[in-house]
Amino acid sequence: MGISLALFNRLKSDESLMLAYQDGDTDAFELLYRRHKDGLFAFLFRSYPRIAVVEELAQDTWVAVINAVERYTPDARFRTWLYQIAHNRLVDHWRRADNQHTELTSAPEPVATDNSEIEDLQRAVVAALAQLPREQKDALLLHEQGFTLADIAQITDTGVETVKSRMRYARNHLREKLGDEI
Amino acid sequence: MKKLPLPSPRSPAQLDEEILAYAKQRAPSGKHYSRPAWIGGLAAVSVVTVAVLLVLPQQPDPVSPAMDLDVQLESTAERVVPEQFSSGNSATESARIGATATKLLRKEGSPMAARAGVAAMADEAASSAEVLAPPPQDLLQERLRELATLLESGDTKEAEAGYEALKNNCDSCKLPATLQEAIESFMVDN
Repeated sequence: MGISLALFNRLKSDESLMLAYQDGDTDAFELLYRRHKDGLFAFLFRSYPRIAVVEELAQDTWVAVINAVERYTPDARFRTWLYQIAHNRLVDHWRRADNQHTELTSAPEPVATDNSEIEDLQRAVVAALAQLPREQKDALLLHEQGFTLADIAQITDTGVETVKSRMRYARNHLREKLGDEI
Repeated sequence: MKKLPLPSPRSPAQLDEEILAYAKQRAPSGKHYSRPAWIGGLAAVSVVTVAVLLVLPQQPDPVSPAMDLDVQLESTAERVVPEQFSSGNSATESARIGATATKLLRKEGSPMAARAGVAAMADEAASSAEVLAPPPQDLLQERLRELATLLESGDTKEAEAGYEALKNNCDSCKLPATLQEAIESFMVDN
């Protein structure tokens, strides 16, 4: 019975799981969390490659989701909503960092992999991204997460054409910096 | 443009635990999804109760055919009637009530409620008859011995009065006419 229920939950959409959590089903929330936690954490890290900061931002994002559960209505995709919250937290953090004159160094914290060549390439990409205007970087990174232009427009609270433009500039910049490596 | 080679750090386990703990703590309580622990206990108690009720002997069906009840009451009356012995007439009265109950139940067309009431009366009579059942033979002998002692000690009137009371209260004892005869008979038998 428990196995069947777990299997049934796995087949549920994000929105159904969120509604189940709204009814007090904490197992549904756990499943939802495990679906998205690593993707969200990676997105935040790529935007701001400092583990301590990313942990704080991820926690803030999920806490905001939990606190908003009773008001949640499945008007939009849960994942879009989740990244919208995360993006807002990220923007807030940048604003605070700007006010405190905190600057992100060009060398991001390394993420351990089995391949040192890949690590080097990843580090180079992150360094190139750090040079991009924040809006362009966001658009590119959200696209890397699998979001459509319309989703990105919703998450960043802008128009689809603006998103297209930002992405075009971002890609051109990366080609200039990284050449054929990407 | 192909997918970018980007780092993919995983969410730390400690952060996961903290967030999930917070989610459990803040889970909406308006509608309870998680089954409370006492539900299991309640279910177990219910099952045991049903099992005990099934095992316990069933009460007589209040709307069972009157014939079945007649048989029960006849046997009750038979238990009550013979060998009446008591300080009063309660046992006889009980037997009479039992017999009356049987007769009433034999009447055709008796309402079920009346039959149930009479059945209760018969049961009551049977129980009171059991309480006031005749004493065993050695009790009778003991009573005669007491009266003989009184007679020997010179309390003739008291002894004879006691014997008369004994005779009146125990028709089935078939006691002789006088205390003297009863004592002689007792002496011979023992």
